[in-house]
Amino acid sequence: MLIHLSCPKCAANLDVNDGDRLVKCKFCGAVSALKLDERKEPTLSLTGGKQFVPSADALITLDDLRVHYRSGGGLLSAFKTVKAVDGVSLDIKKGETLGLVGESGCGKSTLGKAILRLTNPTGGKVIYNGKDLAHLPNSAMRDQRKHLQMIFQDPYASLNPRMTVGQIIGEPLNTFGLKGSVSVEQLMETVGLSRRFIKRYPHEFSGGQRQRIGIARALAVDPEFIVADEPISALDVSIQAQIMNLMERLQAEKQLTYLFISHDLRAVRHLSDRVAVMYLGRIVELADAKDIYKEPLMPYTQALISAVPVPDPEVEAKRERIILKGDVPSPINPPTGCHFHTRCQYAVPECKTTTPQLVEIKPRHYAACIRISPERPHISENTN
Amino acid sequence: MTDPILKVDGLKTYFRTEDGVVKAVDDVSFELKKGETLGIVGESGSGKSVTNLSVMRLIQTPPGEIAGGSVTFDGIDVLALPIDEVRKIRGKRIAMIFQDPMTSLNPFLKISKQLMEVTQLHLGHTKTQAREHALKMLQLVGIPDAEHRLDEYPHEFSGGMRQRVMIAMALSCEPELLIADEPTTALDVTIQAQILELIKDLKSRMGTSVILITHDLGVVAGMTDKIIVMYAGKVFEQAPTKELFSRPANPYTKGLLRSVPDPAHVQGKELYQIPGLPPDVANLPAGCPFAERCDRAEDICRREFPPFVEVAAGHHSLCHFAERVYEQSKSEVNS
Repeated sequence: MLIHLSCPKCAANLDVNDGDRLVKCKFCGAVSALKLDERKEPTLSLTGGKQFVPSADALITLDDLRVHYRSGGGLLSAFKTVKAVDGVSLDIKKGETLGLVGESGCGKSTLGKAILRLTNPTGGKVIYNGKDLAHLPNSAMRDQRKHLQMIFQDPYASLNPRMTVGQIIGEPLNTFGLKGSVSVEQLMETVGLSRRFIKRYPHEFSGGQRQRIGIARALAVDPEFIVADEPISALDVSIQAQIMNLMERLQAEKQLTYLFISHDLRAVRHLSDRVAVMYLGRIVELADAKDIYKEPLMPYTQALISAVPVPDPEVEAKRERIILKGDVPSPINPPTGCHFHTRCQYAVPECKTTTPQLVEIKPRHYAACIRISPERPHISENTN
Repeated sequence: MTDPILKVDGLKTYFRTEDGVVKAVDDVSFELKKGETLGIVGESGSGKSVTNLSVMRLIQTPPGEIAGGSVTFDGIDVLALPIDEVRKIRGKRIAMIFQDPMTSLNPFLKISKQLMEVTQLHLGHTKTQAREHALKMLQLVGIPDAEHRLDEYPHEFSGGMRQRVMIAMALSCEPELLIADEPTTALDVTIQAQILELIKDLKSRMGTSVILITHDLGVVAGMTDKIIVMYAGKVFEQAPTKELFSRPANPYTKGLLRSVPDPAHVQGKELYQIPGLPPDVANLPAGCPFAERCDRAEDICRREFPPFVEVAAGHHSLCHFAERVYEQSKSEVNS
C-alpha cells in the first residue's frame, strides 16, 4: 500500500510503501524513518541528528579532506582511483590527543601524512593557524613543519643508518637555523637517552631506544603538533609502556597536541582524549574515548572493540564477541552507500544506497549509520 | 589421567655466535596433555619460538645445537630419532603455523598444489583424493567459494585468508599437536578474532592439543588452559591460566600484566612500566636475569640464580621471593 507523505526536510511529496522503514528523499537526499502510529497518521522523521561540523577554533581543522590515488592503468586498461581518504572532516584541539583507529588499508596513515603534506591532498582543506596547509606553496609549507612533526612506526627504517644519533637529532636544528636554542644533549635527556650515546649509530640501539631517538628528532624544532603513526606497534610489550609514558610526560611538559594513529585499541584508549574510527577512507564514529569504549554506537566500532582480547580469563570466558564476516573490502572498489554494509549484521537495503553522514547521536558522540538516530541510538533488532 | 602428549624436560638449545654461546633456551620443561592448550608468552628474544622449533627439530646446526634435555612426543624420544623418522611426524602428527603466512606459502605454487602435497606425502593420497581432501579442508576453515579459490596463488588471498590456508594445511593430516607461533600478530583485530575463533572451534572438534606462542597476554587469556612465561631463555613462571592472571607469583609476570593498558580504566593514570631493556642473552648476569629491571630485587638476586619454586599445585615461579610475591598477589585479589 502506498502512503503519501512529505519529506520532513524539504517538504517535497514522497510516496512510501508501508513496508519501508527508511525513506530517502528524491529531491534533497535526506533520509528519514517511517513511523507507523495506529491512532495517528503515519509520519516521517529525519533519522539524522546534527551533522558533524569541525570546530573552527581547533588547532588543526580538517575540512572534507581527500587523498585519491590513481592506480593501475595501462595501454588498454583504465586508471582506477583509490580513495584512501575520502572526505574527512575532523578537528584536533590544542593540548588534546586525538586517537585515530582502523584496520590496515583504512587510510589512517595516509590521513596523517596528508595533514603534514608528506603526501599531497587531492581535495579539501587542512587549516592550521588560519592557513590552509593543503594549498600552501612547498616553500611556505617547509616553514610550517617547524610546528608540525611526525613520529614514525618503524624505528628501524626511519633513522638514517649512516648518521650518528647526534647528527640525526641535530639535523632539524640545522635545517631550520635553530642551533643554540636547544642542544642535542638536552633533547637526548628529555627523552631518556644518556648523552654518552651521542656518537653512536642507530644499529647500536634497541627498538625502544630508537623510537626515543625518533621522538627527540621530532621535538628538536619545538613543535606544537605531532602525528604519531603507530609509534609503539613494533615494540615489545614492556617497552610499549615506556614509550606511552614518555609521550604523556612530554605532552604535559610541552603542551603538545597529538594525532595518535594506531590499530592497538588498548593503547589508543589509554592515550587519547577523543577517538575517531576510520573505515575505508571515512570517519565512521567520533567521540570522547571513555564514551566510545563504553558505548560504541556504529556497528563497525562495536565489532572492533569487541574483538580486542582482554588480558583477563574470567572476562574472556564471559564475553560475547562480534565476529565480522569476511575481510575489509578493497578501497579500489569500495561498496556503495555505507562502506561497511557488506559485513554489517544490521544492514538493510537502504544501507547499500545511502551514504551515511557523521551526525551527533548523543552529546559529543558522532556516528555515521542510517539505522541509528538521537531518538533511537541503538539498533534494537534486525527488523528485516 | 592420560599420559601427556608432549613432555619437554630440561631442554637446552644453544647457538654458537661470534659473541659467545647464546643460551636461547636454557632448561625449559613443560607437559601438555591431550586436548589441552598451552600458551607460551614472552618478549622478543625470550626463547619462545626456539623452544618450539627445537621440539620440531627445526634448529639449524650449526650454529644452533640442542645441548641437553629431552622431548617426548606420545612416548617417542624426538631428539634421538633419525631425521627421516622426524619428517614422518612433522606435518603429520605435529603441525605448525607461523606468524607471517605470506612467507610461509610458496608464491609460485597454486594453493591446491601446496595443500595436496601434504596428504600425498603423509597419507599416501592419490591426486584425486588429495584434491578432494584439500577442498574439504578449505571449506572447513571457512574460505568462501573454496572450489574456485583452490586454483589461485597465495598473492590472490588476503592476510586473514592466507592464515586460513596455513591452518587448513596444518590440519590436513589431523595432527595430534598444533603449534601456532604468533598466528595472529600480522593480522587486524577483527581478523584476529576470526582466526582465534576458528582455532578454538577446530580444536574442540578434532581434539587437537595446541601450543599457542604469543606476546599478547590478551590472546592467551581467552584461549589457553595453562601458560608458561619465558624471559631470557628461561621459564619464569608456569601456572594454570586463571591462576596466572589472578595470582602471579613472579615480578616479571606481574610487571607484564600491569603494563598492558586496561580498557576499563581511566585515562591519565600513568601506565606501569618495567624499566630498562630486555637482557642480552649472550651476556647474562650471574644472578637472576631480571634482577636489573625488578623493583623488588635484593642483593641475593644479583648474586645467585633463583630457584624454581612451587607456590601452589601446578604453579611454579623462578624467583628468590616467589612465595612472598604470591602471597602479595593473593592479598591484592582479596582487597
